[in-house]
Amino acid sequence: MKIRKILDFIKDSYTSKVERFKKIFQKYINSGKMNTTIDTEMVLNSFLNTLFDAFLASLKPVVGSIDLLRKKHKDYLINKEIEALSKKKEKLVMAIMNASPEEISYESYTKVSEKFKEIIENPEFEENFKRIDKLFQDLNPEEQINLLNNTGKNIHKMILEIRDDISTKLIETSDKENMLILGQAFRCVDFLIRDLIESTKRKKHIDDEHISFCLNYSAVLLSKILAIYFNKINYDALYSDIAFITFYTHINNPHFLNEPKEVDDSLFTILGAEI
Amino acid sequence: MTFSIDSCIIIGIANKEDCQNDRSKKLLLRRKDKLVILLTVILEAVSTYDKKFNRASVIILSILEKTKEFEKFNKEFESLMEKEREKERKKEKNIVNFLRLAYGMIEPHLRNENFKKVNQILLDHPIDTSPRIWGMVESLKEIKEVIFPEEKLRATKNSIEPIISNINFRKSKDRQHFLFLCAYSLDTSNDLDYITTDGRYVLNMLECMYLMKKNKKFKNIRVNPILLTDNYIASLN
Repeated sequence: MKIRKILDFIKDSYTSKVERFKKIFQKYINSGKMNTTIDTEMVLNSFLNTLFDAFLASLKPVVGSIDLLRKKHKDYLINKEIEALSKKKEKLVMAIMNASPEEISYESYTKVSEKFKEIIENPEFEENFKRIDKLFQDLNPEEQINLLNNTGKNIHKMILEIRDDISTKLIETSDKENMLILGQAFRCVDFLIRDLIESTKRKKHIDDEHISFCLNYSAVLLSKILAIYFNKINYDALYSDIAFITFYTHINNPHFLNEPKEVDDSLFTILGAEI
Repeated sequence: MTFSIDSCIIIGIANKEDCQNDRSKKLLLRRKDKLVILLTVILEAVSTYDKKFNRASVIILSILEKTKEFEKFNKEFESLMEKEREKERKKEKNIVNFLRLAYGMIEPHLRNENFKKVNQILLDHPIDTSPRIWGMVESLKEIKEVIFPEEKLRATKNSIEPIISNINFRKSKDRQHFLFLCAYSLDTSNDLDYITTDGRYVLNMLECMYLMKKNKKFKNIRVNPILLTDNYIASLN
């Protein structure tokens, strides 16, 4: 299993990634933990394609509903665009990262869609996104709503798969705190996606600020996770996003959160004054 | 009049064992004016809970990694857990209470060696729980307004920032919170008491206020930094 993962890793990576892997490999050998240690980076790598697909689907929901397009015999069109964008994934992720709002609030995140438009109109990606948009625009309003709902369900499945993997690897991983942060960040993406699924069940038209918020913030959060993979930010940078989304969920969708068994003040008596 | 509190006070309210607990609660109960809180201050308190719980989880997971294959797993786990607790207790800013909480939650599943469930709890618990801190503040006093760092407020904050660039705050977040409150005061023409438990933070803010008063453009900023003390609480009677 591990050998297969290592081979996949090499196959899927650029030269720089292979160099990085060599370092990790060396680290395992030096620490004598080759058989027991799983690095967060390897987990992210094994799900890199899924992660990028989820990110693209948040950015352009039609990408997340290949199953629906297959019924219309248009899946080959979307696959072609995904493949083309995958080749530019690092550039795209960084462009989205740079467009992320400095301050964390509902308002600042709803405005992020305007900045996303600029990226989508960037000559580097413009043609691909135009063709993707065309596929969406060709659908009638009811089909568009169904597609958003279907994409939400597909992203939800992707996130569940990644979270399951993270959960099983928590004990063995060499960087446990990062793995915990990663699992919690994915759960926050899932909160937004479940919000999207519930919203699309209710809405009759898609021109809705709330749906846009769910999708845009998912894209921002997923781009941040991808940026960790590309060594552009560190894991701690996710703490404020996790706090914002959990707080937002607590206010808007408290039923998404598990009720702690002992919900009383005693849970917080342990909170020290250190920050 | 309006007042605001920093994250130490929110944490002080949430934590019964915090030395600021009593004072923080009295503050909220005795101030009769409007309470406004910065969203970023609430989020800082939420993040603190998440970070500390994760630190405790890392300790527990490391012990599990060492002991899960052992025949007498529970015994080995217990003994290593006790050693870790002892190590933590010796640290000035320790997370012993978080260790106790996390352990209490996973203990039944450890006995059954249900590691999948243990992992699930450690992953999910902080984000299921931490946002409830907000409710604890609201149970004492209604939060009349949450200040969002919106574009207009950010622009005002950015225009104030150069004036205080030479003042060294211990934490960059403290500087940002203070600047946002100054921007809020300027934009809304509100007099605002900003109450904290950190004496050095108060001194930094007073220095900033002195510099702002000398500047024509910002002399209308009316943020009044206050240190939460017993004398201050007594003065509220």
